[in-house]
Amino acid sequence: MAIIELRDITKTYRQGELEVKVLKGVNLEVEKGDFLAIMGASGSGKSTLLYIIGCLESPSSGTYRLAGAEVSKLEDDELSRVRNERLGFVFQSFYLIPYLTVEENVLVPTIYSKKRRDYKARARHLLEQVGLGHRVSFLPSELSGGQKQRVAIVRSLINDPDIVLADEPTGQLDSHSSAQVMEILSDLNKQGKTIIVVTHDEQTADYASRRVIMKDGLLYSA
Amino acid sequence: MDFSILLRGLFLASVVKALRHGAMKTVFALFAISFGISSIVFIVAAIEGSNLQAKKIIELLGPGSIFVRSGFGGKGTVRRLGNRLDIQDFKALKKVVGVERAAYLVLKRVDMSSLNRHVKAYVVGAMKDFLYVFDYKIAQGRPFRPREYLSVPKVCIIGTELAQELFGNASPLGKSIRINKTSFEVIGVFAKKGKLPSGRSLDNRAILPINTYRKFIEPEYKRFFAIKLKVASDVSYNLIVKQVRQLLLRRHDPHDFVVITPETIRKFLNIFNFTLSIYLGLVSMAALFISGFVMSNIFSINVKVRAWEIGIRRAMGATRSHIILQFLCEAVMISLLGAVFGSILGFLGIRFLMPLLNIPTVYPTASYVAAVVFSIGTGIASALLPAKNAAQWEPVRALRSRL
Repeated sequence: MAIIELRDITKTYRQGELEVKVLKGVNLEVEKGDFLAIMGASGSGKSTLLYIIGCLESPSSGTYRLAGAEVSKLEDDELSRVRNERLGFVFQSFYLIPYLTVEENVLVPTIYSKKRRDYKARARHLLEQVGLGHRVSFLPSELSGGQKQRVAIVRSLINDPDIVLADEPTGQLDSHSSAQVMEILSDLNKQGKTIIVVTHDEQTADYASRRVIMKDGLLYSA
Repeated sequence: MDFSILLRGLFLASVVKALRHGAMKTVFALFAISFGISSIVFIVAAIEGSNLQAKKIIELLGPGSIFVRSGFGGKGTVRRLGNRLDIQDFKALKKVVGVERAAYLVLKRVDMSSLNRHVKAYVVGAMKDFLYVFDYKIAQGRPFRPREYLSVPKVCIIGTELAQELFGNASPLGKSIRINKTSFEVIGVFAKKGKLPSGRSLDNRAILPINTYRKFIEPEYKRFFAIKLKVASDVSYNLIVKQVRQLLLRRHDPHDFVVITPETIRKFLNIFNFTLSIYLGLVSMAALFISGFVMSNIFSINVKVRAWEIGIRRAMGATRSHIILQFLCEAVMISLLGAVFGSILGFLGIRFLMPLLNIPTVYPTASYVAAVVFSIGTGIASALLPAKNAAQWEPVRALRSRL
């Protein structure tokens, strides 16, 4: 069974009188363990699609099942819980909280988790795996872009989600750091995580095992 | 609301770090709340202090007493404090039914000296019932003997402050004080009486028996400053006060005298208290209102600037109530700090401003409790709306606000 199942998803933004149809009926199935790249030009609606998959916004119509459960029927608090337990996010501009250290940033999702376990040890272990074991008490401003993105990836993993969603994860990185970040995501995929990456960069998309292309609000297989 | 989040160490650490990170905003909010709070601390203490003042003055007057004092004079006369009562007044008042004992107050400011010290102070002439009527208690030595009121003995009873000034820590009993080239032996020291509302101390006086006073200090006094009456406990106090007033009105212009009773003191101080409360109350309400206004502006800026942070926290699983709690916690922490700073400011205000207002300095617990309550109240009230708004944003919109 597909872990993610989108049926006839549309999204319309209203700006005063103006209606902008960003998604015009998207169908998508993602199997558990997939590594999917969503490609497309800027403004094609690919980020909107990712945010809908990530329960960060709701579709205007259509159905979305995540691990068999109908997401559009969930309350706001339940959506928060889904994001907290099942989803990890990585963004283009990292979104690390500037006043928290690397370790604290990584632990932020655990504040909102119902589960209690030794997150600190897990955080250190994961940070060491991405080569940042010596940076735990640094502030984000003291890190390079590549390092920030690796911290963000560790943060997305701290609650051990099934799915990691990455929105242009290499968009602000040089080619060396981009490769490092994509290697990490690739490794995660091999460990069984479902990865969905939104990108317009060919090299980034090459890491994925499957590609789809967004164009004018519709999705096409590559 | 999921309050369990308040027990997470990282949540609280993150609140503190956020405040430190936004140091300027924090300091401004802190200033705003501190000023509001300090004014509340001050007003509570001022009201408490003036109540205490009232109690002290009534105690000073003594139980079952009526105090008749010279007034400031009416229109057409020179309006100044003087000796406007005379021996005829005294004799008439003494005859009012229900008046048990009476004494008048004659006093003069003179030079006094011990062997090696010299001061200017009041000397009082005491008639037979004076010590009783004016509530003087003997702390050391003895009072005047009955026959000492009839003869002209060179003896005196002095206050503790005068004793200190003239003799230091040594016992004044048996020592001599020189007034107008005559030596008087100190036979007693009266118990501390405290200060008049005007701030003048009653403990740096010397008391001579009336004949001694007449012979050595002021031979020909016709008028005096005040008369005090002690009233029998089995008659109506108010009725006697009324009669005393009527009697004096027959003999004097209304501006020549003032009848002071616990009732008049209370009435006067109530008016004073009321005015003070209204004035300080308005000032501190305005201060608190302004603090609240400044704080809520700072909080709504804070929330806007950190919209993306709210977005990322929501993306990572924070619920709306988590976001509200986070910003309320920041507000409460600022408020608690504000209560501390405000209390310190208020404390300084009490310490240095109350003496200027002639109010006894008190530091009532109530004012600090009020500080904490009002501070947290203002903090929560001004942070709640911006926090609630922020929590309502869709996570995506909050995230995109950075771009």
